[in-house]
Amino acid sequence: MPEKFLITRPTHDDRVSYLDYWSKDIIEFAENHNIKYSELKGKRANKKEVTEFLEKQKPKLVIFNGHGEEDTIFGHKDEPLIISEENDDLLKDKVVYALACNCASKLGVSAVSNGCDAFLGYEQKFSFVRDSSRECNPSKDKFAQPFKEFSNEVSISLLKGKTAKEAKESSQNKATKLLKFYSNSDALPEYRHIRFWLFWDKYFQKLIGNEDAKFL
Amino acid sequence: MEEKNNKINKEIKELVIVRLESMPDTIKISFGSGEELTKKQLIEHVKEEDIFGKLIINMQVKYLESLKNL
Repeated sequence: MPEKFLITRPTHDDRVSYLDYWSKDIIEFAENHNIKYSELKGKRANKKEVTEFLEKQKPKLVIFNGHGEEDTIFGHKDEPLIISEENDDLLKDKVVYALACNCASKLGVSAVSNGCDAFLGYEQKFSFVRDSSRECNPSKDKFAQPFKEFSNEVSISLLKGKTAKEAKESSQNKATKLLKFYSNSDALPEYRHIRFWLFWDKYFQKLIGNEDAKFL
Repeated sequence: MEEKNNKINKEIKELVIVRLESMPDTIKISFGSGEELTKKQLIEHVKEEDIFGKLIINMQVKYLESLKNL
């Protein structure tokens, strides 16, 4: 049976709506490469549906989008989906990428100790710069674009069959390229701040567990 | 020595504040599950040297040091 992945896409506030928009590129890549996936979007990104999917479908890769804390990944309307030492065994044998704040620092560690193959995430808050004039339109927000590219590099690298370590390296390299790109010109005063917050995300991106873990 | 370190820290803090003051109103920072951070809020954290403010200062220093290797 071909491997499939699960992606959660809550949309209940403008910040997670950005992450939801960014996910379109991941879905498009999967569809173009005949990679099977299931998405739990909007109100379907709830604990019941996520739990049932993980238990029954046993996807090898799980991509979480949403808010996070040190010990929790949240879904629709910030319902806790995965909690450290409570139900993180749901991630057993899986490769996980959590585009969610802080959860690599504690949840990632406990999930791996409870059998998660590899956990990629952030041990501090994930930040991104937004265009004040594009509040409800992430597709036209050019200042958020580098953050999308940096984060999506993890997911798309995993979908390409790269190991967790390679996916992280690829994302780190993407960040370095973007930092150089935005350093080459101070044409816009916003670039200085894009550089700093991109550096922040790059610095706090962590991989815990089996570096050789793969989705495919 | 302590006085010298304090002076350096004060200079770094002022540098970070100057950098944050240059943040244009055309952008805002999405930062976790809280509200967007404004320039004023970022500067307040740094001025007060709370946990987040100290983290911003430390990360600005790391960021500036990293530019050597870009």
